[in-house]
Amino acid sequence: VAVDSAPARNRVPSRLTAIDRWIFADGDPLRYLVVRRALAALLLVRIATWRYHSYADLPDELVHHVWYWRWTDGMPHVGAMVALQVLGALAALGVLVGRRPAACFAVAWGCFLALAGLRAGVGKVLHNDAMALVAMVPFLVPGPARADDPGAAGRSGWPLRAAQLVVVLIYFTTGVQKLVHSGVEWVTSDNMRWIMEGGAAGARLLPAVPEWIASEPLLWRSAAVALLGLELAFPLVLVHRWARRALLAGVVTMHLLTLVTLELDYLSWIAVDLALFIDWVALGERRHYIGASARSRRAVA
Amino acid sequence: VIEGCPSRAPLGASGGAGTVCAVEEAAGGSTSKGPASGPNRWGRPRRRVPRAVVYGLLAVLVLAATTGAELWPFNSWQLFSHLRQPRQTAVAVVVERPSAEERLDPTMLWGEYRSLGHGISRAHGKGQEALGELCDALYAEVVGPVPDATGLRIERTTTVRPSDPGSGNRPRVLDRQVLTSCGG
Repeated sequence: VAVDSAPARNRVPSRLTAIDRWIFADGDPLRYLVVRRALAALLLVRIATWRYHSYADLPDELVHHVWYWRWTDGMPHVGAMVALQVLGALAALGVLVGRRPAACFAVAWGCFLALAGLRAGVGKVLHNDAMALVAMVPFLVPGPARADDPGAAGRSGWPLRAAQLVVVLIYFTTGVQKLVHSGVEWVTSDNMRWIMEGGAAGARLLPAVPEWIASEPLLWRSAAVALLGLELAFPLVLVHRWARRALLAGVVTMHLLTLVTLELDYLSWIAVDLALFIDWVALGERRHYIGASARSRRAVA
Repeated sequence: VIEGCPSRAPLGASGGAGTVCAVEEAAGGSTSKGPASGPNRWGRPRRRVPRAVVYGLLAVLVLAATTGAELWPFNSWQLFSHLRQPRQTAVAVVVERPSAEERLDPTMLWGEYRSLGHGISRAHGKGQEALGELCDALYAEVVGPVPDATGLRIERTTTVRPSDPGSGNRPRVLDRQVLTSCGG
């Protein structure tokens, strides 16, 4: 037994070592810069386009702040909200145009955390922007400002892989939570039908779509299987190229259908998935948008 | 400057790893602690801040998911985790007017706000007094856009959806209970 168990004992640390090596391996500085800009663009859109100020007049009785807003009872003044939006949007723009990108990214993220926290403090736990906020945390550590910075490769890989790991964990956890709280009945019962019926009752734009899905057992049963399967299988996105393509297409479709049927906005999840799991630099090179010689010289601020 | 340290004075010893010195990373001048020899025991460059960030982040993520602690944006990621049933209970605010009664649409008052049901349920959980205060606050908001409002009613309705998909799918009201009322 002693002879057999020794390799088994060594297997766990060696796998952890392999994961650690994978996370902290060198990366492509150009890809890092592209991803950081994509995330900054997402920050810009979410900060600038949502009407946070419409919450300013909410009665205090309807406000139940998230933990970091609990120092105040009600909603902050509308001027403070607009100031956060302006500051956050300008900082996100700063990342996009390459002006002090590391500091600007941190400021934009902080403003978005504050604003999205206000939105999350009025009802049930909101997940719309939570994943984006968590996945962006590794990018708060200052990385290279330019692709040709000395040592840029060593600082470019881990933020992207850590963010990918975070996203994988989140999808997997959502699937596991369904099994923990509902078991396989989440798929085998009429659960998805009632979700669609509820969506149809509350829909303002296209109630006919969830109504139609709810009326076709094959559709809502397939949707339930596909949804839970996607969430539980999402870790495979890190393993194989074809799995990555299929899973990305699957989750993008899932979030778009959620928007159409339940009018729940998970667009920031789509944006994060596409930014993190598609190598846009390699794609650009294959399509000759980025030349090989230009790549070596290119310094992206 | 000690041998093996490219620059900076020694900072002290750590965990038997030998002398530790400040190593200015070649990449852009950020400073990190590392042994004189540079790589860690796995032969990789020491990246203490990144490692602390990554493993700390993953730890908080797993902790929030497993304990249910709501450290938003870290949370337990329960998205539609609980089974939906044909029988459902919902709360609503009804605006009483001389001519008619109508359900209050919160977006009419506060733009993007659509969580009135959660706000009412939370107040109801705190007790009747909290619910009464909420009713008064809502009435004060409603009389602006609806000047002929004479009162407000917060009610809880239990409905059931027909199991036959061909029956029109309209939920049938099983029970309606007034939780509180206020105003005029």
